Amino acid sequence: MRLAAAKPLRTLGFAFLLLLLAACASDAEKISAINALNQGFRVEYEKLLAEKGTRLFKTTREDAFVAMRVALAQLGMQTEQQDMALGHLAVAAAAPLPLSDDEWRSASQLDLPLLRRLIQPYVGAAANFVQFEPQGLDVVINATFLDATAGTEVSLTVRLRERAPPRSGWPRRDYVAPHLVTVGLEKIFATFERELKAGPQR
Amino acid sequence: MTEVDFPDALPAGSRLHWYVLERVLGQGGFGITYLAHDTNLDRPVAIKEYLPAEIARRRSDASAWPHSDTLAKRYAWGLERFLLEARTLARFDHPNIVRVLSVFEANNTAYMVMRFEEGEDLATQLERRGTLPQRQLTDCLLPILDGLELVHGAGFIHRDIKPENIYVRRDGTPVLLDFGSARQSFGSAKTLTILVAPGYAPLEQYYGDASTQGPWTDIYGLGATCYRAIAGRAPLDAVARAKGVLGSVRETLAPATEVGRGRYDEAFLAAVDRSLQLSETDRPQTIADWRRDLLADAPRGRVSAEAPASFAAPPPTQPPRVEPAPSSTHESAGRSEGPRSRWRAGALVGGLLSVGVALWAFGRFGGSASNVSVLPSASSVATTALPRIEASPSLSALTSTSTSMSAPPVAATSAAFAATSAPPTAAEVAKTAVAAAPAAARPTKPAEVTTSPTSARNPQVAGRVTKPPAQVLEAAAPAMSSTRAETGSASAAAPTPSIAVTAAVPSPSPVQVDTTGARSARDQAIDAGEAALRRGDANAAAQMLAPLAAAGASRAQALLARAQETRPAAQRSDFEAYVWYGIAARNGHAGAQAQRERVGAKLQPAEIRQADQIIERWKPRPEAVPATPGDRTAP
Repeated sequence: MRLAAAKPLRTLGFAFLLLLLAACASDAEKISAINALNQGFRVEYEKLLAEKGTRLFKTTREDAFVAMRVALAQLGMQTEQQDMALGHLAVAAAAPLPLSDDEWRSASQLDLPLLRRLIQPYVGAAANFVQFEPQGLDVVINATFLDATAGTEVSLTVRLRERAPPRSGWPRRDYVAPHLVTVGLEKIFATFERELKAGPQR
Repeated sequence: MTEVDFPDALPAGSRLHWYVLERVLGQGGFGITYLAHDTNLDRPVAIKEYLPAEIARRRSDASAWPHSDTLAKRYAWGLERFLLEARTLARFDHPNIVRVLSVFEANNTAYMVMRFEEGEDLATQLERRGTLPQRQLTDCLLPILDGLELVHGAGFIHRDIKPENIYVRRDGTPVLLDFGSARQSFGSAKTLTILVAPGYAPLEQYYGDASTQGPWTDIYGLGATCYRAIAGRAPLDAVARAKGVLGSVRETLAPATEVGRGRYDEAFLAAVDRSLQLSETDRPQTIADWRRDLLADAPRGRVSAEAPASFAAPPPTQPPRVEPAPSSTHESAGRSEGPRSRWRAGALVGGLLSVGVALWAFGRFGGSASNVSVLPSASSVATTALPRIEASPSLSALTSTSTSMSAPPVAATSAAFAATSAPPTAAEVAKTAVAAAPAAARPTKPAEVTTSPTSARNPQVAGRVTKPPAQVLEAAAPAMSSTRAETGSASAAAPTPSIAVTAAVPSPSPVQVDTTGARSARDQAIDAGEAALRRGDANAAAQMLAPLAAAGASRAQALLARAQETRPAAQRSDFEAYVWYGIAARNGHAGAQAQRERVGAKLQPAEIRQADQIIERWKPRPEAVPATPGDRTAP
């Protein structure tokens, strides 16, 4: 009973606090916070991509392209651009895809400390109440396929796309949090490898 | 989508990811095809659901399950084949092969999302019309051959070609559907499930194992489809024919050369009969072989290898078509007839005179400053339009006569562009641009096209003679933002200067394009793309320009980049815009580098690295666009 009574109060208090803090931060501070977030995530993201964003597969470029396309479709991604000759595939879907809700939630929790550290200088204590929610965001993935000596080099990049147009003068939230990137890349490459193995035999 | 008609269908309004089902388009042995709305891209799509009625049914929660445990393996195998079909189709991006947009699994089954094609299948047309004249039959058949050749090239066979699986779009272009039986033809020993369409399936599909099937299997299906269009009925089933041959029944197939005599070219009918040989080894073994047979008798300009727009609604008295420059795969020998020979001789004399004038001008005004009107592609097989000589500041024109081609008095009309309900592809635009080029710009001789067999069969020679230095041509091309008069539909209506070819002219210095003079068909196609862009139809522009850009035209590349930037939100791609600006810049397009840098500011550094690698390794694909006379963009 005590718990049941306390929960609405806590929720109300939390919402109120958020509103209060949101009101405390000026537009300029919020813009700076988003810029800082993009910049900080970008550094981590670039490191991650350098390590895990490109892999070599012993297959033809064509087979890799098809397998990746099928793999991404299996993960719920919608093809937006594809050019096999160019070796480029772009897919998108509403976040949290290609992750599940659970995968998003657990990975984003790991990113919260970094997120809060990045924005705290600009929004102060409000940083402690910020969550990394997928609402209103699309995940856009670019895959490229390049011929390599021993097969095909497959590279992935990931970005966020806000569904609503950004307010004038406001930065866009481009970069995905590092743990989300890691989990996403691993999931995509794992699905891709399965698809490659299941692909038509020559 | 009524429950009575399709009791197993998902109800209208059902949502699968971001697709909302609207109605059932059809139901077959494999499952159900729906018309659906893609709410992301706001466009109709066709969605094929795997639900083979024989072995599975739908449960109340919308999921599909096999009737029994014993059928589960078969269901799973079929599901795998279904997914394979999607993968197969995803390999091909060809206007005459059905386009798969996506595939996904849900409801314990799978869904293939395809472009929604409006029109009707060939079977329905044949039902209504009985038979088809040769022109319309070849207009439908030849593009399908092109698409199928691509499929075969990748090691797949369709295995279920019949009129029901050939769809004729509203603009008359055909598209091959239903690769449900497609499989890789080479290297797999897996026994095939028998999937046959009586009358259209060859004997090896009944009795043979996988190793006996190949491109000739599809050629049989196509031949049977032709037979249906010639005779008004499908050929006898292959099994019955085999029995007839053995004498156990009295039925045998009346050859196409008999049932179509007088209405079709002999060679065409013979080719159809050859495709229907019971023994697979007696049939043409490749599409290219069969195409050669089919067109052996066809005078160019009479039977078009690429003439999609006329199939749906041919005009009562259609003038002879201007043939696009013959591609290596659509060659016909081109018989020489009396008047044609005389015309060719005249053309030869005219051409030589022109060359003389040109050489004189060349010497007089200096090679580096000379402006040459036209430039055919390597694959245009030394085809020459023989037009009036176009005046240019320093040089009149250069002509060649190894092959001659004159245009018919086709009245130009913007309707040629407006007629299609869907945005035309670049290839279609290119073809239409040729067909619709203004009469004023064409000679008034009757339509006729002759092909020099030697040059036609030796494209290397032709290429050597006619191919201009691409970089130089591109450098001389008008800038993307040129103030050229609006083209596209307008270009077809405006008198366009005629085309001449540099074929036999030695070119010690770089050849330059007369930017105020000749407009090649491909230029006009690029112009049409630019016009679409100007009127705000970036999607259509992108469709038109993509193959031209892929073939190496830097102006098309820069325009395509701009189209990619300005497409509707979900299709917009700064990445591809960056790539195409980069490729255009690499090919010397003025201004593209600045655009590349501007777009690059919107990309992540990692995306720029990806894109730069693509740009660095990009190579033109001349085959991306069918060769057209006066082509000047092929690298």
